[in-house]
Amino acid sequence: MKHSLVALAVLMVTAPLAVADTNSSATSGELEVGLGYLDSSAYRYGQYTGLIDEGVYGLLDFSLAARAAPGFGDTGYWHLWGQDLGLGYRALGLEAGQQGTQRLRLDYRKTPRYFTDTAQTPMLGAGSNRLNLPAGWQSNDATTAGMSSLDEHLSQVNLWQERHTLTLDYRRFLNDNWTLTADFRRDNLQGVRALGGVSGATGGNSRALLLPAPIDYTTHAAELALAYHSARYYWGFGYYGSFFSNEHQALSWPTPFAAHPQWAVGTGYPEGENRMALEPDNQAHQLRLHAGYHFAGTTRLHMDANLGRQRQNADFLPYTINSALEVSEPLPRDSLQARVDDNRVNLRLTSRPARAFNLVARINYRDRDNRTPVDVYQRVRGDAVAQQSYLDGRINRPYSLRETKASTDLGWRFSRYLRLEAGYVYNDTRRDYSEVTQTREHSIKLGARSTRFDSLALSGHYQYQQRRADEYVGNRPLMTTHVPGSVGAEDFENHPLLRKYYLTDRDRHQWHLRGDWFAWQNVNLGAAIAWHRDHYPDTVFGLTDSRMTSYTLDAGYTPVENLRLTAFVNRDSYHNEQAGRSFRGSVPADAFDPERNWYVDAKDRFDTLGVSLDWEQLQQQFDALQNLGRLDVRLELSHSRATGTIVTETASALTSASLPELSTRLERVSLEARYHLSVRSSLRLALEHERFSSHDYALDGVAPDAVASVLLLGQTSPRYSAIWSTLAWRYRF
Amino acid sequence: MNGKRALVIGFLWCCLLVMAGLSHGSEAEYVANDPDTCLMCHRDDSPLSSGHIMHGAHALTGNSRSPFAPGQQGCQSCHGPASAHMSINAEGVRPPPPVMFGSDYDPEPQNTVCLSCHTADKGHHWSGSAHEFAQLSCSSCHTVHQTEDSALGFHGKTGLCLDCHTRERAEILHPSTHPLRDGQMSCIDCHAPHGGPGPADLIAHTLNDQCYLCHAEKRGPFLWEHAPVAEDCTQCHKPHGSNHRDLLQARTPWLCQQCHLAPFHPSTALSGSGLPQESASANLLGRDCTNCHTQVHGSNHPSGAGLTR
Repeated sequence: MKHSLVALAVLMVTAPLAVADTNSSATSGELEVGLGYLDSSAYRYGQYTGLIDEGVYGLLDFSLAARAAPGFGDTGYWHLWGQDLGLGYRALGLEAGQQGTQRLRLDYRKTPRYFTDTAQTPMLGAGSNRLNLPAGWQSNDATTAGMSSLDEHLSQVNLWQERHTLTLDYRRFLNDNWTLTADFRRDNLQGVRALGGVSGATGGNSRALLLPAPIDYTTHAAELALAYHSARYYWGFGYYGSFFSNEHQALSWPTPFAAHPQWAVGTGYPEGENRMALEPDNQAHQLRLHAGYHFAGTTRLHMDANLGRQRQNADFLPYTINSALEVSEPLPRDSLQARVDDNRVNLRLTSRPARAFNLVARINYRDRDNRTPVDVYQRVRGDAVAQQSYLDGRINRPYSLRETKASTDLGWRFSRYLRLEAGYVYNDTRRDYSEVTQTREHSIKLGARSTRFDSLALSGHYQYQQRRADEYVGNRPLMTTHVPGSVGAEDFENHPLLRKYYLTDRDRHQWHLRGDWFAWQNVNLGAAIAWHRDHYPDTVFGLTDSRMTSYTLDAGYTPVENLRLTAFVNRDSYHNEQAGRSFRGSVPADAFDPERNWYVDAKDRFDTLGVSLDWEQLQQQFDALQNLGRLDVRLELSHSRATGTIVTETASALTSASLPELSTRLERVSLEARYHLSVRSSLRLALEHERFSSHDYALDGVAPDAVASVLLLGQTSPRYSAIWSTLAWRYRF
Repeated sequence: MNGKRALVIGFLWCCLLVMAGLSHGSEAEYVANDPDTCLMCHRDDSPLSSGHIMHGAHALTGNSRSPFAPGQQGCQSCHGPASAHMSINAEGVRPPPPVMFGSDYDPEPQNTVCLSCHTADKGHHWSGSAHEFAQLSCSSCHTVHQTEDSALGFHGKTGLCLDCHTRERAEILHPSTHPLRDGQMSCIDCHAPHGGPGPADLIAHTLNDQCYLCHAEKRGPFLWEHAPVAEDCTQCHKPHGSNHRDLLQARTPWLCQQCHLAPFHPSTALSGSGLPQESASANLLGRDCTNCHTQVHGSNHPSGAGLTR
């Protein structure tokens, strides 16, 4: 990243010099410097800006540009800008070129994300690929209650990440017909995240803790393309490659729990060790081809085709890190040699066969062919038990997918005031290793837009989608992941009555209604309603019904040219219903006992409100201010409240209790005033007050050792009130 | 006849239908001394000011394709021959030039003018895009008569999009979102407003490829894949905003239980009885299912079949 920044800086300095001709160019720019003050530390307030600590911050924004002056015959231009320099988030950019000949864009962004500063962990080495327990750690049994020295060893750990993105886009118009493009992107993400680490066997006796795990990803991407364009047809081809690398391929940590009686000797504290694989390096390559033909009149045919390949061949970790465990069978291979061929073809035909008609027809084909080798892996579960026998091994499933989609949309301007729209979509999806091998989906769309009255615009759209699946074989994943002969034909893992929502029959209805009323010349009012419903007619267990309603009102008021007031209010509601049956593998009758059924009714509701006022040259409206210079004011207010309620009901064999409501409340008021000292310089005073509160039963009041089998981070839901004040001076030239 | 064959035949029928599209043109006279003649009325201080275009990108005469380059027609390059506009008609009004821009006018002629120069870089996906089908014109977003087109560049574009996309305007204020609210990301980081090759006019060809631009670590392929992950990220995530961490469609563990209903803990009825004051369930508190099954996007560990390694 350091070298990239140097290159960026050099280009920023030299590129403008290369294209600017001071005799015939018009140079402009602005510089804004200032100070900001945050009145209290608030980790979430600055989650994307870096304004997390109370104190003073320096501010710097600038923009410099030059463009050939009209009439001089030159075409060179450049634009160099920087934003929020001095904050955690910052951006630098350069665009330079010669209009009609070539263009270079260089862009750098640093985007932080601060998750929480209330987490606690006893693990040392946060953010590295090796975590350790502190000296003097004591664990008396295989529960968190047995960690007798936990309190004295807990220390704060911040969860955060920073993304550095550098992009370079170059385009050269070789002549009137040929264009060459070269795009590069480097993306680096670093930080510390919470990652669950399991000790011990999964399936009843596992123990876990949330680890402060490292993030250090780098992705390089490049696209090179050559395209030809003429009035009648065009085509182009190119190569796109994406190369992901992870600085940390594995994370290891000692077991903080004393050994469970079912674990092997030497796998509990203090001898026990654990290791998980982090995301492996991978590559994606695509050969891209596009072409189009412009038939007579308004008819156009466009085609996109991609031949893609994804590869991943990182070295496997051993089955276990614990040398005390018996591992007699070696890995079937040293690395996965994973390969996915992902090929796509999109065809699109558009036309206006008559002035009132607008037609779009599309065919999309995608074949994701996963050619990764399939083997039996004889696992060591949780780094704590002996290696599985061959019959208990697991077979990897390289999922493949083939999707064919055809759609058409027709717009018909029935009259000057009425436009009708209709569409049809057919989607055929075929999968392997899944419960369902083929799903077919038919959709119809109907819509109308009316402007019958000069001051009123109305639109309404309806869509119905029907998805139907082939026979649902619920135990197919079980059969395909287990060694033949190790499971019976009637065995199951998921309950036989479960239907996964993305694989099963579904009826979807969607309504969208919108009205805009231009009540007076300077007032507009709008209202929108959206209603969606997904119903799963074949589902007994799983997601059975899902509904969404959305109401929006918005208004705009522009009494004079330099004053604009806008406001909106929105309510979105989501409602999911799902069902299940609690059953134990050790009690076969459970699976068939309806008295063990449970039902969940989950609702999310969002109320959002926003108001903004832009008032330029405010001083003109008040006699007392007439002697002042130009004063521009901007006021913004936003309010968002989200709640989530989850109600579980059970049949007679089970019990349930109510859950507290999830809630989040965000309120922000900002006032910005810019006073123009002269034509070129101005002062900006801005105040922003943000209040945030949230309540989450999974975090609040949940101590690190609240759960016997999992050592948590003990973090709390964020709550804060912060005032951000800035004073800045801007000079334009 | 199966459905696929019917669709192919239907598509070919559409091809034949639209072959009937006919071109049209018009003959009219151009006015001399453009833009000087035009600016006599449309100067900077006039009510119909258009003079700022002379300070913008369209005024560079060195680019042979610029409207004001030698051999071009100046203002009339875009607005069409304006001889009739120079006189008063029988109704006593000055007829507008052949091509007028703005929401009060038919978008098709407007867009045709713009695309006559901008097809190579913006136009391949315009025809058939969501904005084209909704009959938006280029001038719905762009203001070429200004020195700087406010729709260009990275910053400030989110607000322009949200003027019409009102649901998304509310969604970016939800508790879990991408950083759109304060401008660290912009709608155009993912969507191509002029039309794109992917669904919802995404820049990438598939939704997952769009997500992988920033989240390439989730691309794999992994030894142990999670079936819906490689297929469609939106099976579990809502890209514009959610009430739940990591932009999830629904609260976990119930989101997981919509597809996982196996014996013992995966099928357990979870409720308030799992809170700390009662049983303190590992499946409800902290990161619930992902306290253990942490590699939900896939694992490459030979012992990671349960996505715990």
